[in-house]
Amino acid sequence: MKCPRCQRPVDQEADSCYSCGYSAFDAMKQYGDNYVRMSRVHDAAHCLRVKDRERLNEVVDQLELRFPQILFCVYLGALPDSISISELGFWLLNHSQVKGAEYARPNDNAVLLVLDVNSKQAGLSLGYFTEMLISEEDAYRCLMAARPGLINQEYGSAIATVFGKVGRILGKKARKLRGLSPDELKDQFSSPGIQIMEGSAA
Amino acid sequence: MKLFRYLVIFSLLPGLAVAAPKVDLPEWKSGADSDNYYLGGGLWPKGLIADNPENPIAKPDSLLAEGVESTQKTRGPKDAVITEKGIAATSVSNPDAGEGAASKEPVFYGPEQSGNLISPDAIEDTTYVPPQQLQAEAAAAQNGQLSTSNQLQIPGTPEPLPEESIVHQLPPIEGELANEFFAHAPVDFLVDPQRLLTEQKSNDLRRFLEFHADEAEFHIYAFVLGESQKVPSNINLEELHNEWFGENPTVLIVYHQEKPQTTKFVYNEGIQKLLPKSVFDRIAQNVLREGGSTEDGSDQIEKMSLELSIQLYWLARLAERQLELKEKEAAMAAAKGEAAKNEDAPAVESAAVVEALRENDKSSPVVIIESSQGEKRVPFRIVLTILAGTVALMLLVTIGWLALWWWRRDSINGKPMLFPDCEVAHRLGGTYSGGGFVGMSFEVGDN
Repeated sequence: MKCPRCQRPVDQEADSCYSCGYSAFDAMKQYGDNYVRMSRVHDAAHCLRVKDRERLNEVVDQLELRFPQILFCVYLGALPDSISISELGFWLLNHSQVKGAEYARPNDNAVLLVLDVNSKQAGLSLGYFTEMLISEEDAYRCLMAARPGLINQEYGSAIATVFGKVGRILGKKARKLRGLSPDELKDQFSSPGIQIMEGSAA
Repeated sequence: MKLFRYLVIFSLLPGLAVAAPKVDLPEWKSGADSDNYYLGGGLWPKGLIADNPENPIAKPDSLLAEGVESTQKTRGPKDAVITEKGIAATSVSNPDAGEGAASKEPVFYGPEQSGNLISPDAIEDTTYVPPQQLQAEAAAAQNGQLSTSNQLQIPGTPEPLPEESIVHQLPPIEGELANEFFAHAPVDFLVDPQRLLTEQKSNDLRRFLEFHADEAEFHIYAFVLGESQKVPSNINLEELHNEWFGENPTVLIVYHQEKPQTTKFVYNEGIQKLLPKSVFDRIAQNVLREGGSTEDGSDQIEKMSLELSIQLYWLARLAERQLELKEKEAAMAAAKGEAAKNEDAPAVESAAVVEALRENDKSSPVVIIESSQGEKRVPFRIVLTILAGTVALMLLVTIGWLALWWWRRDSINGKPMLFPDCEVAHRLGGTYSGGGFVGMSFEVGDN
């Protein structure tokens, strides 16, 4: 885990970053303490065409059918230089409510793709649950797969590529976890802050 | 010193030339002696010169008449046959002109003709016509009469000269010549007893026909006839072919020199029955076209033989295939005929037919499909191809399905997948996220 501001490693249960002291409180001060509603494909930069939006909605629908626990959403913005997409992602996951997301899909099961068309930055913000399923390497691989499309400003196809890759990674992870016994599951999630719920689906 | 020596030698050279020994030249004292030498005092006596006109051995007598009067006076005793009168008469040799002719027969040189001597008396002006005669002839011409007394020539178209026949007419083929052609079966592939072809062409063609006979199934026997010669009416080429070659595949080609369009081809009777006439017509057409491409007789027969050789190769292939087909048809007919006899036992009959067909056609195995409508013979090769195609198709479908399944296994629209629930301790004060983030720049220059 890394600090959204200084990108230094952060302990599992730290209240604030040991290096820069960043916490959710700082994010609230910067972006507000209110809750916001956003759609699954939130195009604040208005850079997606109607067809791209429709196609992305279909992709997200398919992903939600395949992974009923996971929330997939994307935010495209034209952000000022003062806003970092990692901090924005952190704040959005903690202060947004995604339209259409059911109770079964809380924000800690979210995979949020944040795109800043001004600074040409893209990032995957993960909730507590999804960061257990998707490693940093896998997430980086998903983003790199979409890089050519992003460079060519084909945002619709690039986002679909990222979600397609994430879906494959999650599928592999699900197959891997399905064959494990409860003890092996405990070993798999052996971090001190993780606790496997009794009677959960595997 | 050396220079001085050279100067002395050069100064002495003219003196040396004067002091050289004198050439012993002949000398004569009187003018008569000078005539005995050429060039008025040459080196060689006239008697020794071969073409000396005064040498009786070297020169014919007729030329002795030539000369100049002044020289005749001074000639020696050998020139006594020449008389003053004969020489004075004319400069042309004339036996009648001198007395010497009586004593010795003169020899004349030049083209021989009757009355080869032109007498001076015979030379007279024949062009002169008296004016009275001219008037009379003019009057006669006006009346439409022509005078025949004189040699008046009427202008008009000259009579055409008789054309000399340069083509040597060959004798008709009969008697001994006919025997050379048709008496016995030809030993050589080229039959040209009249030697109408050049030796070189003849040898070339013979070698080619021998080579063809070694390599090909059909042999070619080429008969070369003259342009105007005809095969005798009592000779039937088909019968001769049958008599000479029997069933051996042979083609007899009777070629008329420089008239390729009249060439005749004689094939075996069996081959002619086996294949349709159009095949032979096409071969003849191709061969004649090749022959007609040149005008030289030797080249024509050579080109025709070459083309015939090529055509015969395909003819042999065609005949072979036709024979196989006929054999198959015959076997089928035989099997069916046998089956028709045994109508009482249909089950056995069917098996017998199948067996018979299989036995008769082992070269190309077939699959017999029996149905209520009858039997269908499908070549085994086709059945095998269909089976192999079906198996390959099934294999492809299976592989494709497996690949699709493998690909869809990880695709997003597979069946739902669930993860075990787990609770993660919160950090950085976040309710749902602790700042888990992976970022990337898609600026062109950045990585």
